[in-house]
Amino acid sequence: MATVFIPALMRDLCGGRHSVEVEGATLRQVLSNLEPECPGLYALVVEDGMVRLGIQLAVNGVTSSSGLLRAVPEDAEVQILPAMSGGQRSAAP
Amino acid sequence: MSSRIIVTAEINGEPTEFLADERDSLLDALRERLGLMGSKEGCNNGNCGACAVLLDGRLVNSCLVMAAETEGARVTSVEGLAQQDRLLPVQEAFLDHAALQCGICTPGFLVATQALLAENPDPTEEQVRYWLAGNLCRCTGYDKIIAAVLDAAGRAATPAG
Amino acid sequence: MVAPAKSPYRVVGTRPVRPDGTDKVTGRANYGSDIRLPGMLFGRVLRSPHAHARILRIDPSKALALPGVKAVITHTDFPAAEDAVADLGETSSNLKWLVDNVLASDRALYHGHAVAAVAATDPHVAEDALALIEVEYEPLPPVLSVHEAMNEAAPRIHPNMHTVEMMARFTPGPRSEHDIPNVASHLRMEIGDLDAGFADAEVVIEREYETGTSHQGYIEPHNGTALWNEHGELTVWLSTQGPFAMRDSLARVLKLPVSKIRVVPMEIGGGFGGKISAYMEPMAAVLSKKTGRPVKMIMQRDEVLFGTGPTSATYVRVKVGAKRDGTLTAAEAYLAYESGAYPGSPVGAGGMCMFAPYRVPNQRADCYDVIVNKPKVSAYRAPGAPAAAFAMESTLDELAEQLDIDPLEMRVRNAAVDGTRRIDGVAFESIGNEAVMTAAKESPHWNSELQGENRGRGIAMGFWTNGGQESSAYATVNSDGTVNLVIGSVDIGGQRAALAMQLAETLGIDYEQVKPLVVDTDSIGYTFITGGSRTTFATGWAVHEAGLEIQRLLEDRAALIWEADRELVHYDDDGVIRGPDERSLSFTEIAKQLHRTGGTVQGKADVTPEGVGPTFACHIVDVEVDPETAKVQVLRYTAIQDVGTAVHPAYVEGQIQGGAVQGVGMALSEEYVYDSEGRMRNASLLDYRMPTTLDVPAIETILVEEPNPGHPYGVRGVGEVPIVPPLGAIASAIYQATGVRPRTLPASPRVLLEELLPDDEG
Repeated sequence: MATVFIPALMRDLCGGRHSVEVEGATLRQVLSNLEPECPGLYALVVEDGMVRLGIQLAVNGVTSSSGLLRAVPEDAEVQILPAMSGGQRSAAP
Repeated sequence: MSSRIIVTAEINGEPTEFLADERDSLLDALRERLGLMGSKEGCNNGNCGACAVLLDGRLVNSCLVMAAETEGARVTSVEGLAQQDRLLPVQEAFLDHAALQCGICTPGFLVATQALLAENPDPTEEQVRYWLAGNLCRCTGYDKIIAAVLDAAGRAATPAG
Repeated sequence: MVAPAKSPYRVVGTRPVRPDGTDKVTGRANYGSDIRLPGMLFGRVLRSPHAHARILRIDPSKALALPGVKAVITHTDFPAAEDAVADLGETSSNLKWLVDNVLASDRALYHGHAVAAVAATDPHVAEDALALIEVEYEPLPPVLSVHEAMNEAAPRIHPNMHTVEMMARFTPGPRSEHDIPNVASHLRMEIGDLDAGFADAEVVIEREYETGTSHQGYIEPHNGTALWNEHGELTVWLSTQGPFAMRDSLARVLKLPVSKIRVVPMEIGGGFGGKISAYMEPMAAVLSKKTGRPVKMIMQRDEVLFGTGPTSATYVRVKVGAKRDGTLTAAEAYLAYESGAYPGSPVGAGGMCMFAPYRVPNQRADCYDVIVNKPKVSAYRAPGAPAAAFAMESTLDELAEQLDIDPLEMRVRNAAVDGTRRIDGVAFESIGNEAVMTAAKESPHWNSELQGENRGRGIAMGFWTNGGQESSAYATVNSDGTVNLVIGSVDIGGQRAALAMQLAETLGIDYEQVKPLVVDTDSIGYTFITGGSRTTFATGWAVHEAGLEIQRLLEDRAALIWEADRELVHYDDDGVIRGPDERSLSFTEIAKQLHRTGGTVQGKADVTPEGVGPTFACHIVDVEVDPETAKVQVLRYTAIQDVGTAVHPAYVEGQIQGGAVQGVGMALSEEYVYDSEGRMRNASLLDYRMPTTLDVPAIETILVEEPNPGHPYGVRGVGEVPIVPPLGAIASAIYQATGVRPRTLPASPRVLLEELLPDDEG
């Protein structure tokens, strides 16, 4: 089971929970399996089959550009983070 | 249209004649008329020292000198420091101490240091810091530059066998 | 230096001379402004004198009539401008903002905003032409601070913009309760239970802090030279941190496929995050298209200051709760950062970093991205973190004093360790935070006695994390036993050396055998910017992988030469290939044979490495404050940092020293000064006061090498975190020296004197 940490302003979609445990071998599976627990969250994170602009997903604290195809190890932690990284364009444009 | 002036000067040891716009600074002339791109423009008003050259042996910011003023003068830019494929001790010291990061301020620091060592071959750290206060560096925090200058002074004092 | 007892490496950890060094000490290195092409024209930019104005009319006819002037362009010359007029959702509004920031359309939104550009046969003529372009403005009231901007009465700088709730279930809209004037976005990060955390606290303090706008201050102004040829192919030569990022920006603004654009990175004279965005490059391209000639553009220094992206001025309110023994129970922050004229301040990063060095179970940060009539901010070394850390570190210092705990001990007691969760929920792994604090505690500086009147010592922590992202590299073995290493990462401060060293280490050869070359966007795979503390880490990964491929190919070749079982052939760490029957070939020996045994060997790699390593820094500073003038002199400075493995320690130290001194500038002297009309009044390097040799002492460095397990050589990013602690450390030192705690930085003599003088004099 992966543990998904829910951002503060999305928690009321998940009954106020800070984190939810779900199955899934990839980020896409994890987020799909999360939908019954947190209705509406998938669409806030995914747009046109890709992670929305402005959001990045971390597996065990590490972000990558592999998007939803990324493998999620057993017992991994998944975080939904704002897209910002160092010394780089912090946001649009 | 502004008019052009013929200037005759000794540039890095070579007698040189060039055509300058009356509004050209010495920096403009070195870069745009003579193709000597080593002197850098960081501010174009004498605040950063990246364009420092020696004018008749005196340290100046070439952006503040008009090209026309250099008639009959001796000008040494960074390109004129190394002699026949041999780097000066200060150039060697900058490399050994990693005293440059991006390197844009380096020509100005090297020329300024050369002027300092000509006047005072054995400066203290405080004297080095005073002398180089007109040269801005944004990458290094100056630490390694100061170390390189002090080292170069030592090397110049004890020529290699 | 705290280093491993015995380095496992031969090349990594040494201090060789950089490959591009000789060119850079002889004036031969070619920077962006040094390029000269046949028939080249010179471009200049006309900029708005108003901070906020409607542009009613632009008439270039007089300028075009000046002999030597070849073209004038305005916003309408950009193809993307047509589409950008319609509001087609987030992506297109971002495109509109991008295009409008390059050249203003209907309104100028800051003093220095580009309005038109000219190309002429001579730089002096181009300058003359600017005065002949007639622009009619209708000035509008400017909005100049986050406080003004967020007020209900404030003019809306982007009337159709509404506050986006980031990472939230709410959607933006005009009637949304979440809509705040001129706030582009709000982000909340939270862990634990804040109310419970404060209920648990025995001492709670809440304070407000502000910082001014500061600039990256690279000595080389922006430059760009463009040639748009008859086949519709665009080549741009320039100084940039990100050739591929620039190619992407040009493609968007000019509506060109990336394959039509070649970006050639020249040597770069500093960036610090400021040389990523497009400014003049699209203008140079369009001017070239219009004239059929190459066009070179170089900014003047005042244009660099008021026309490119500095960092945000900020307002931060922080509230911290602790037990009597110093244990932190809760921390809350409200951060409002100026983004300038278009959205995109680094406020989220500020909120993410400010509490990170500490184990605080209950945290919340509310981050507001605020539009004002100032230049659109861009990245600046650890963007957003210095101002936020200043607030937290100052508050922590005050808390320690109230609880009568030594300020370093206060930090040690609360140090984040492996497993501690950050505010974004991520748990730390393999961090050197405690090791940094321990090294600070044991440092000669901390254990020295500070004597003398009006002197004080301050200490502060800082946190940042490095980026991963895409990097490519390939390496070809030459018959003389050298290797040509080709990279797409621009060398902004020794990267060629640090990358060549990693390849030499992988191949077991000498550093001098590797010849690195930085190439253009047509000549290598996509490589993300030199920035984000990523290059030695991520491009280092690519270089290492390319080296491993060479190892494998040379093993194949040796097996072929020896007619040996492939499984029995091994490339060893010393660069010698060994096989059965004690056969061996050195790297140089096999290199000589390649052409006659099947041809050249080349290794290549395209990577997107994970395993980024968080970095922590602790700075200690002693200052003396002149009681008459309130001028602060830095007397001694020590920077301690977890750098992972220091590949080239001299350049690691250099990054730390340079970052610390930029932080000193932020703390003491650097600030944009605006008048009430929003005009920048100190746009020169005399009046925008960056530290000189006289303003700083030697910067002592202590490298804590806690290898990053996510990198083959244990590399962590080192470039950014050193700018984070100086503000807090210096503010605390000033407090120790004077009894006055600066809550607004820079603590310039003008500001500090008002605090220091008795009321009747102040």
